[in-house]
Amino acid sequence: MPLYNRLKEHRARLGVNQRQMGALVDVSRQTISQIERGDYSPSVTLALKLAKVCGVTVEEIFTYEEDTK
Amino acid sequence: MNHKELKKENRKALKILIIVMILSGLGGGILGTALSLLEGSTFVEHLQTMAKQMFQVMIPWGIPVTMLAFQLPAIVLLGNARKKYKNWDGEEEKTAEIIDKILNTVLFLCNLSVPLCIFFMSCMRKRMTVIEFIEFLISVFIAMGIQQKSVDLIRLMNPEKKGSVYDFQFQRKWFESCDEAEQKKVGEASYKSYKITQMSCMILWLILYILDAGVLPIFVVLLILVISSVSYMIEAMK
Repeated sequence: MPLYNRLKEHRARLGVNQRQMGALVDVSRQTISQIERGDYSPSVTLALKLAKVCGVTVEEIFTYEEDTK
Repeated sequence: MNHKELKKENRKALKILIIVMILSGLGGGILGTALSLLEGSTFVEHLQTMAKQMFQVMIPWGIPVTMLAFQLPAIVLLGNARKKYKNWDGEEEKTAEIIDKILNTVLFLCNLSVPLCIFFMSCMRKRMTVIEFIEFLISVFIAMGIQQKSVDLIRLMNPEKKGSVYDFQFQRKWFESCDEAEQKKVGEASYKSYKITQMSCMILWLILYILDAGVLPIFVVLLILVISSVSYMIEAMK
């Protein structure tokens, strides 16, 4: 059951690159890249930090959709 | 999961395990019989002499060949990475990912070269000439230099990373400066390494046992197995 995210959209809206976003939430550029690609699911703490920085709720960045196939 | 399902799963896996054990036993028996028939044969003795002579010819070239095969490509790739970094605007994500991949390859090659050079140096031991000893020292310094330049470049791209390669506390400082995703990756890689070490030690023990290599090599291999298991379990129990 995959975790989808719109982090890249929100990051583009804020006008920051991956490194800057990483600095805002105390993680590396690679971690931001991995989250955006869906290769890494952040911890609750990190998800909350990302939501706070983006000025939205966690659910507006991350959605958890059941595999209907 | 209830007891019934547990028993069903265990029975299914046990059947496969028993078949594998029987086949391994048969294979081991056939191999052992073949080796005992070959023991003392002139063909095998001839092969052993040939292998020994080839080994003696190859060993003095081991360190230079390792440097050419591993360290030279690492230096070239490192130069490539540094060039890409100089042209990087600090924003473009694809370039950053490419540089990361190149640096991973550089460190991989460099980390392979060190144990190989130590192996060849150990094989030469008392027969080692001054030139060969200098070659070994040069290979070690080159490896250290490559690691330092690679780590410095990683730190330039990722300013949150801490630790100098020459610091005895480097691994701890570096790990502490990693974020949750990186620490998770280190954990996954460590577990994979632990599993492969366990399997490799068992295979090595089997080979050493079949070849009758003696007590010391078997002891060393099993010691590595024990250290690996104990350190893993102690950490897992924390």
